[in-house]
Amino acid sequence: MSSSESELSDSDVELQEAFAEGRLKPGLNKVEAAPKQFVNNVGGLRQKLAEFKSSLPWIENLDLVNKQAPLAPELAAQLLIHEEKRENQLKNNKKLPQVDPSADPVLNDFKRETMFHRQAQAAVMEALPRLKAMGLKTIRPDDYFAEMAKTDEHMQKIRAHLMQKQVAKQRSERVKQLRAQRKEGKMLQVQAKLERQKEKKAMLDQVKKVRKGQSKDLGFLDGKNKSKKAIEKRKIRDKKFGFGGKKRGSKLNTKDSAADISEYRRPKKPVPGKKGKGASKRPGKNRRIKNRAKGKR
Amino acid sequence: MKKPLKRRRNDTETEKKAEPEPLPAVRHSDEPPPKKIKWVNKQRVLVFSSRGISHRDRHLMEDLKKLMPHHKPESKMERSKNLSVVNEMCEMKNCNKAVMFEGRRKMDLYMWLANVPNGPSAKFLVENVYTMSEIKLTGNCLRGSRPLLSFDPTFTEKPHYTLLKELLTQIFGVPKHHPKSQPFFDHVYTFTLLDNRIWFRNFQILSEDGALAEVGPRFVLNPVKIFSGSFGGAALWENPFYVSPAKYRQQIRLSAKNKYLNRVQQKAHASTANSGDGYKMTPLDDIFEGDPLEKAQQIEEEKTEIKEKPKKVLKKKRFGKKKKQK
Repeated sequence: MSSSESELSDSDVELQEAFAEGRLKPGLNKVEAAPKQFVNNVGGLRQKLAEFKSSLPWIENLDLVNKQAPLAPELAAQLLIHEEKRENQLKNNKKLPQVDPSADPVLNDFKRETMFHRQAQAAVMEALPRLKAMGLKTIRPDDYFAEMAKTDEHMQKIRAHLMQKQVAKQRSERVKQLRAQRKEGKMLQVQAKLERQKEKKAMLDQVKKVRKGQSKDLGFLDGKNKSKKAIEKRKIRDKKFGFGGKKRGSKLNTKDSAADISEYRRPKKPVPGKKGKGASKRPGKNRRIKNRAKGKR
Repeated sequence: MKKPLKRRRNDTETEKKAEPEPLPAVRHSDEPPPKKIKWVNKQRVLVFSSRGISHRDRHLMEDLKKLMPHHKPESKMERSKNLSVVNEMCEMKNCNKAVMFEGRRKMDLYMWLANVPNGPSAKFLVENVYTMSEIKLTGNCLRGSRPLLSFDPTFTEKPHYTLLKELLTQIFGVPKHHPKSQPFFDHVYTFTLLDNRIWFRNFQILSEDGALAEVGPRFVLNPVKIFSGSFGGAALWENPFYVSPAKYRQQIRLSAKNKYLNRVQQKAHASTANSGDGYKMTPLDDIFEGDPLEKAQQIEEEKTEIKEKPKKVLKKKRFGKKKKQK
């Protein structure tokens, strides 16, 4: 007890001293832990690096420092498609967490992976010409067989998985297409129905008008789709061949039609100089047969 | 004048080449075999783990072993042992580099990379592990072919990153003319610095114009500390952004706890704020209570009573009629 008391009194004395010096301000004072110091011994790092850095030529290590390769157009297109798809996904499924594209983890994942991909591409573009200049072979010939990192069995599995994925994608696409087609067909059907109804209504309206004597125009009965030229043509034909009325017997000759000789033209007198159509070089049939018989003999 | 001279010299050279060198008539068995001087970069990496790493981490280690023909295996180390024992193990196995995996709490994986006899060494937290057996990684490469090592430009900017780059190059680079290696270049490792971590990817080179397919594995190295010695010594650098996974999980738990408390409080508040039945204010609700027939009779009875004082209950009377009509 006595020792703790003495400690307490000690700290009190310290505080009093501090207050007298003006280091303490009135109010509650809290003890603050000093912020943790992180070691960063730059000199030591440099020295250590110099100690163990290998002095071998580049070909022994194959290390490269490179930026990302320029974005290939197909990769850019893929990125865009991915972005669009993701946007649609978020729009159509409100259960998914709604985040803006800059903070979207899925989209960011894709972007990050393309970044790594591009860096690797840049490395390939830089290193392979360098290796070729040294006269080293880079491509494995087709007849060079060696153990691979992944077994054939595993690769087969990957292939099967890819195929399955592709098939599923195709199927879903086809179903989507069919659905769209059906939707479109339905829409067209409805549209046609509405159009017909509208036409019918307009027709009935006009009929009503005519019946009440508000208009005498019967043009709507001809159909509005025909052009002026077509209507004119129809009229002429109707006049020529008849329209409506009784058809039976209308084409039989009558007394008047038989007596009508207005269209009769007297045959022309033959011109003496012109003899028929002019002698044709081809003989008549009988003569041709006879000639053929002679020729065979 | 010069031409004939030249030709003559050429002729003598071809003659020399044409003659095969005769083998020595007698060879002694004591003679040392001719040395291979092509294999210069003699890196040997001890790849092993301590006890208590998860299956996924073990697969990652196996994958790395597959890709590194210059590795040497070692059985699992007891956790109780001091890490400086590793130096002796490396010496016994004739290795000058070491990759050691260390599991903690059956979920966290740490990786030590070390240059063995005299440092430096680095400790990393390994995050986001995908092994090579993952089906979505479609590439494949020769077992033991030499990888190109591609580093981000930020690796040259800071001294601790340059040191790590050198360490990674010496460990992951396959030495030229290593007996187990293949003479072709069919894959690239990329080390990218992002978010203060080192992201590792392995791509297969499909064609020379930069078509790639990922082989795997994938992992992210979060550097924790760099030491001057191998598996020990003074710390040269500490990562100020590093938060240990246990602490990170604790933070998440704490925030979740606060969320729960908040919800409970809100519920309590809501229950006190709108207690009582504020909605039972419609005056005619009692009409629909009970049996309708009884109710009608009751109303009828009331009607008879009302005749004496009709003014007061006019409203009710009307109701009775309406009900009857229905």
